[in-house]
Amino acid sequence: MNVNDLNKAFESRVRLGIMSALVVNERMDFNSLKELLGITDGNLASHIAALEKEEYLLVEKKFIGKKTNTTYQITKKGNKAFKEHIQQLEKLLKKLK
Amino acid sequence: MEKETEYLESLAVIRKMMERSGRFFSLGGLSGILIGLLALGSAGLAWFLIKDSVPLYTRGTGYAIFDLLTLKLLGLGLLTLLLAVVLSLYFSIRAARSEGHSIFSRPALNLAFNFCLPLAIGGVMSLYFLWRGDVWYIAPSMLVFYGLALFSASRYSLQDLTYLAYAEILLGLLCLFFLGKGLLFWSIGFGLFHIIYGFANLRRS
Repeated sequence: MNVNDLNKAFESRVRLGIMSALVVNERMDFNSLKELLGITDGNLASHIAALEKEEYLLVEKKFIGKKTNTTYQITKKGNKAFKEHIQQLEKLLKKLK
Repeated sequence: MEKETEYLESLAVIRKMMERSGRFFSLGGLSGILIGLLALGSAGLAWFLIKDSVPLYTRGTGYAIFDLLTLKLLGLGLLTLLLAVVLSLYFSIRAARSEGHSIFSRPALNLAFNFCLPLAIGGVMSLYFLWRGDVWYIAPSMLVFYGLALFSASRYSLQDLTYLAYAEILLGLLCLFFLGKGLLFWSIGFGLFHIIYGFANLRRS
């Protein structure tokens, strides 16, 4: 087991933050995530796109009146990958000690 | 070691985000215990009030009884509810502040709505039973609807809330088979269960 086993999709802090928030909250919208993580629109959008490409996130666009409201959910695949990532981090830590 | 700090930091980020995004409703260790004690205290007081008029409050009458005793009990109940709300709000706000976020964010409001809706319905039903004089059914319906409120709020909060929710619902249903022992079941559900929950939480953190 080495560092290469760590999931590349979770290399960034922001992505870890997004996944953590979605594990706890079944569904969150863009603005809540932005507020929670304290980052810019563009930054958040690019990380979300990356996670969506891995099929870790489910994106749902709805219209509330004329405004779009986009919510995000974690997929089963994403949940599994994220939990494995945490286990992997813990394993690696144990090995180092 | 550089790698070690990196892994540790990743885990810290995960934990922080989970807590920050989820722990709006902070029925933590201490608040759980305090709310449990409050419930036990008020149940004790209610028992003291009821003690001398046992037949009325252990059998139900089928008609409205708005005598002094009922009003006293209603007042006691509302006061207990108010104190419990103030306590949990205080702890939630304190937890929110220490983690540096607002309790008026979107997820927090979602949580409040999900918690309050079943609770309010339960409240209306309990008042209806009181109005009808079917005091038997007040304790079971309070327990069941409180459990449902916790269940509906649980996904916005710590995992443990789900178990507390199941326990309250089951206890409420069980209480239906022991009508007349409502106060006892109420004390177990709102007193004992909260205290156990509180201690379990304290040990974990």
